[in-house]
Amino acid sequence: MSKSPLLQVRNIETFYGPVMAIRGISLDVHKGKIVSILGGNGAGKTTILKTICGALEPQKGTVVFSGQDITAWQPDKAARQGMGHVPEGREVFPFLSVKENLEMGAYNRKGKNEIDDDLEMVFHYFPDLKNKINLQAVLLSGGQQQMLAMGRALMMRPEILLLDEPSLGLSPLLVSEIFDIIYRLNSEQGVTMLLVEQNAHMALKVSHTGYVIETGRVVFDGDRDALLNNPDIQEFYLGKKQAIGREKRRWKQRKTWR
Amino acid sequence: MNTEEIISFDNQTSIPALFRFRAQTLKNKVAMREKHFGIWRTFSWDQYYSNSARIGKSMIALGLEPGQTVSILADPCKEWLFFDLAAQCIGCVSCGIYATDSAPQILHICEDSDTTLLMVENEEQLDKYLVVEERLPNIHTVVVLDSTGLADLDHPKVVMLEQFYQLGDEGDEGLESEWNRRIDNAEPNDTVILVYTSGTTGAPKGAMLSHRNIFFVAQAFHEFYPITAEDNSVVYLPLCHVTERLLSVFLPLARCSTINFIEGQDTAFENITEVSPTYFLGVPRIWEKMYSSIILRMKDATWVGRKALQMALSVGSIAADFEDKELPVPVHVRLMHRAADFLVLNNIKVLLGLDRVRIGLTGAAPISPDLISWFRALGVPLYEAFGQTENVAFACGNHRGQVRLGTVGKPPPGVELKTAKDGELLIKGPLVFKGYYKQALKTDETIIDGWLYTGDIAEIDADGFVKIVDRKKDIIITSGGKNISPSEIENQLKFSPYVTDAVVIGDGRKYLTCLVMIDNETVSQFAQENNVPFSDFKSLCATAEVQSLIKSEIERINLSLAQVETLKKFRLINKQLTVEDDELTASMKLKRNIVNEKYADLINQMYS
Repeated sequence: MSKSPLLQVRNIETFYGPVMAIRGISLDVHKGKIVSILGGNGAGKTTILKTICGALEPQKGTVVFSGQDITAWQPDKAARQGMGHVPEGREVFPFLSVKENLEMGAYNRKGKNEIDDDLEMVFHYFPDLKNKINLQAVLLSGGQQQMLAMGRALMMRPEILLLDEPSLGLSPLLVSEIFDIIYRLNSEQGVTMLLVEQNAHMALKVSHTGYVIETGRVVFDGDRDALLNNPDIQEFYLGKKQAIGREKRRWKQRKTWR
Repeated sequence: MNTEEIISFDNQTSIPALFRFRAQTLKNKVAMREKHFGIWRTFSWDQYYSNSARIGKSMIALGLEPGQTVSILADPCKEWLFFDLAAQCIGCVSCGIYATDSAPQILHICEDSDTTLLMVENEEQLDKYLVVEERLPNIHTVVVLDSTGLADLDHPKVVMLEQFYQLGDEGDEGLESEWNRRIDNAEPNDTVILVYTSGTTGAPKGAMLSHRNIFFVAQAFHEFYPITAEDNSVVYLPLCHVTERLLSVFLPLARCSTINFIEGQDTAFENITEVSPTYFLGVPRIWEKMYSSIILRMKDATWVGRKALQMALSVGSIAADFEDKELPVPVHVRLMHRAADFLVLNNIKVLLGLDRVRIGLTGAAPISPDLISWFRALGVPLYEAFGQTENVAFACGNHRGQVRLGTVGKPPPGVELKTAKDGELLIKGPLVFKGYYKQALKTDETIIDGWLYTGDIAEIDADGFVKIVDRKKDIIITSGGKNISPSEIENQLKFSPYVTDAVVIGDGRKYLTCLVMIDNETVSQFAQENNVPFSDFKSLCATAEVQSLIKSEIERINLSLAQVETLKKFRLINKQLTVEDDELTASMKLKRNIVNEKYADLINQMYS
């Protein structure tokens, strides 16, 4: 942890019109780690990712990526810098084929051989895509589209992958498949990831550290074990309840985050 | 004053009789409002009484005898009052329990008070009872208000409210005449409610209050703060606290005013704005919160906006000074004040829901005089009053024409005050309680020759204004032998929008230090504005900027303190505390002794 983090976010504030969606968020992502951002609907998770990749411009604060201040850079410039964003809801190019979609991910890269190698690597992790290589993306299932979106981002050999709710709208089986791949990509390929998730259960399985966001502010952060052992997280995010007798149940009005 | 003089309202000498009389004469006048699915619904005096009567008859049907105790474990709601008055009418003693209390605390109160019937709000409260059920054999019936989630519960002692109502409804005429007979039998000196003291020291003790105690205080209160049938108030503090009980149960009975229940603690401020009460009692914490919310908003305002508020407040404060002294306000001041009120001040009052407040009161804890001046400049007539459970929450107060900031005012007619040799405040009069339930020894220590020993050190000035110095046991004696009142210093600290509460330490030590609990909301915003990176509360407390922010606040306060009183060091409590924590009282005050114990390490750091 002594090395400076790959991605360093300091005190960003982002507005949607007059509404301050995130209120002074700071977080660190170290190279080779998976960091998750947890929180309920409307907590500001997606806004954080959009601000990091440049799709939204923060009113205040800085985003430093591999030692360079990239605050409010255009998204394409940030992408060339090595930032891969897998947006919420996949956003694949519907009328391009699977192969074309993947090639779009490498649009700013040179060296055909390397690109072909990466294509193989993507197919290695997502064998389903190989079977549908010439199919239009619109014809893929939700899970396959998610895989395609992740594959597309991998094709640019990103230094960091920003994943926005990869489990959205997928069946439990597919969710665990996707997270399995996320885990393997990180452990085998060393891909650094910043993961936004509602599914705290899955997210905490794969990530090294995490932040909990509520109404635009970090309310808790820590490594995986600290998060898993936190009673508030157990109750409000993991839905754990002791199943012993009525009187043993725990009643709590408020989260206290400690 | 003759202690046996009869105190009555409309010729009724007991609470039950007065209650029945109000229902008969006021009939359809609104007694209370409660918000139900987003809509304010009204309940008349008639409904108030008839519901209480149904409950009371059910209690009689269950065999409750005069003198037995009924305990109520719920957040404020209309049924709270129905049960409270039903129990009082049938000659039982009504005892409130804080909804935030834990199972062991509930056990202590139910056991100590010999509770026979317990009313609980919902599944959550019922669960607490079930934990300690076996140790409470005296409780024969538990009534649950909200049966949500309890459909499959089969427990011999537990009944739902609807079933409970039926017990009385199905009874014969005899039940009705028994109900009326018991109301007629109420004697002014009977114990009517049992109020457990918050217990910052030792286990809570039950203070016995009689009809007469309560009637006297309701009358005395009216002398200082006249309340009419047109007045509205908001019920937002726990009803088991004697202050809220006085304001929301007994004063409306005496003065026919209307009460409005908030939906819950989280919506308190919204509900206050909606209701816009005409009399309002806040604990200092509420006033501090309101003040901070305006200060925070002003930071985001334009330069013009800030200047306008500043000017309007200074005009307001000049006008308030004249009014305090009951002097005629000069024409030019009146004109300027009108303009300031119209352009600025009234908007702020509307925002806070205080625009109709005729009587604003603060009590239950010390408050910074600066805060009172601020509200008075705003045009909210805020008066500091003093009272304790043992004297039905009201022993003296500032009031119209009799205001001296930094004091808790003068006693009402019929109340005698004096200080003992060591400075302890003593009170005599019909407001002094009957004693602690089953604690004759403690009672004899507290009431000596009719004088109530308050445990507060006070000074009474030549004009009769009382200044509370501190709790007797809280006075700090430094190792240099200086007597210091910590609460004065703490109050100044609490006036800072960044500080929620503080505890000054230094008993037997060389110098004074303090532990500070910061306000999460305002300090987070400070950090955000100043680009201070932080994640959770703990890391917020640890940042150098926040440390120096609090340091500068303390240094500012040190300037106004005598050399021996200055705070040399401080530490932040880096845990966000809630009412459920031991460290806080139900009114969100830090408990000095528990803080001293729990944070002994932090404290020792400051002296090593």
